[in-house]
Amino acid sequence: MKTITSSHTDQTLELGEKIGRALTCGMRIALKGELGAGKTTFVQGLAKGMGVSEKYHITSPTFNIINEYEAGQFTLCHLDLYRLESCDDLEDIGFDDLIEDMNVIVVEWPGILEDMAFRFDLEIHFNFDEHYNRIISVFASGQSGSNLLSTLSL
Amino acid sequence: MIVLGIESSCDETAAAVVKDGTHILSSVIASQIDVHHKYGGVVPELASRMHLEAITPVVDQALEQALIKKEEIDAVAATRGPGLIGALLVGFSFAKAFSFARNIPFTGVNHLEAHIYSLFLTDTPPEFPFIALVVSGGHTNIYYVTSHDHFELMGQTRDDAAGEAFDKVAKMLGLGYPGGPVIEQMAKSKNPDNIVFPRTLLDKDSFDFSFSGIKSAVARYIHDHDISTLEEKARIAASFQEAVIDVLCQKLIRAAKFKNCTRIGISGGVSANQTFVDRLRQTAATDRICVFAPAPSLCGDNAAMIAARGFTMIQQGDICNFDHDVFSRNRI
Repeated sequence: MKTITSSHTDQTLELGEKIGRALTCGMRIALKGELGAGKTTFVQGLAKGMGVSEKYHITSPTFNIINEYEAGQFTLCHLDLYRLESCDDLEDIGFDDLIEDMNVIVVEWPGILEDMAFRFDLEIHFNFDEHYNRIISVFASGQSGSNLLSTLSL
Repeated sequence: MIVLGIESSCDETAAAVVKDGTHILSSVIASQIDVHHKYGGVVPELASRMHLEAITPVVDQALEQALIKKEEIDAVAATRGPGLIGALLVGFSFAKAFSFARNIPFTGVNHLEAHIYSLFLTDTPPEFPFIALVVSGGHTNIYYVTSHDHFELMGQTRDDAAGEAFDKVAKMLGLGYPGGPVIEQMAKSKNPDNIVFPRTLLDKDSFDFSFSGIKSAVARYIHDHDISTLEEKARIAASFQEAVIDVLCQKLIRAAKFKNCTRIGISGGVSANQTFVDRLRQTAATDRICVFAPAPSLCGDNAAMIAARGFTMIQQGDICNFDHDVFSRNRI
């Protein structure tokens, strides 16, 4: 596990960008934290690191559920499952079609995926300290996640 | 010309019968608002399965209420995108089948353009050109509209949509869903200048929006203060709403002045917020700018606006064939 303290959105963006540059095939990332904790900001940095064209605004996926962006050889799939109820809904939004090597899947509010034991390579927690700085912790699981985390210098 | 409109891009399944693009004969929405409230969270009808269950009864009811037989429908219009693919496919495929069975034209409508056409479902629509704001839970876009086929996108949100900010702040305050009406209601009892939340205006020349900063500022305020009383919640609601309205009004009026345009038309769910409409009218009047807003029933997603937009497209010969498909991302 590695942790940073972010007192400004620039630091959250920078962390996202570093991880975005280090991502490999088919990686799956879960983002956890309250409203306003910086999850979408992190994905904006991640998209930059992955090489998503700056002409795209990385907007909140809460309403659309899934936003997809071309990112070089990869496609960044940014999901927010906040509005979904069960894993049946996942099928209805075409989640199974997203699972492929060239897609990097980033999920906000991943609860229903965890319930069905979906495996994430990285899990990133966004919390607040007493001064309202963001404490961002990156956890890895599996080989590719652990490799990425070990090479990440924060 | 009588057009059957069908909407199924996201949370609502809706059908409407509209005459000549302006006169609503019926408009039916299978709304899930009560279901949302029951669960205390956002449980939308976004599953394609639920659209599938609703589509036939909703269309039947629209025809029945309009006192129109299937044989009297001249054309069909359905939402083609943007939205959820599975949900869109239900309405779009239904429209294809209806058009095939009746041998009448059908067209696929851009959902965002359609919102602008909710302004034409009246006897006093705006004349071209006008500045159009589509502001809802999913979008906050400013267009310069010069004709039925020219919509110049001037600005859009870079993070959260304005309606989404309302929903999320309502959620943080424990006020349930949807957030817009309850925040406006609570805000009425309070002077909004009590707490100053940031107005994010971005670059001086930009017509883009950013609402994630206001949302985070509210989250921080809630973190730092005791908000257990209704009075404190109302104070936050009023101050938050004021900040959002300020930004929307400033950008819209600047866009109108930039294009030397004397008309602004707003549409989408947030345009049902009467405090916003009144403030915009007031502010715009000092610059002799006229403000147009749809009837409250036409602010949210509905099929009458789809039929209205479809009518203008069909008139221009912009029709779809059976090979055309839906799209998830906006191409306006």
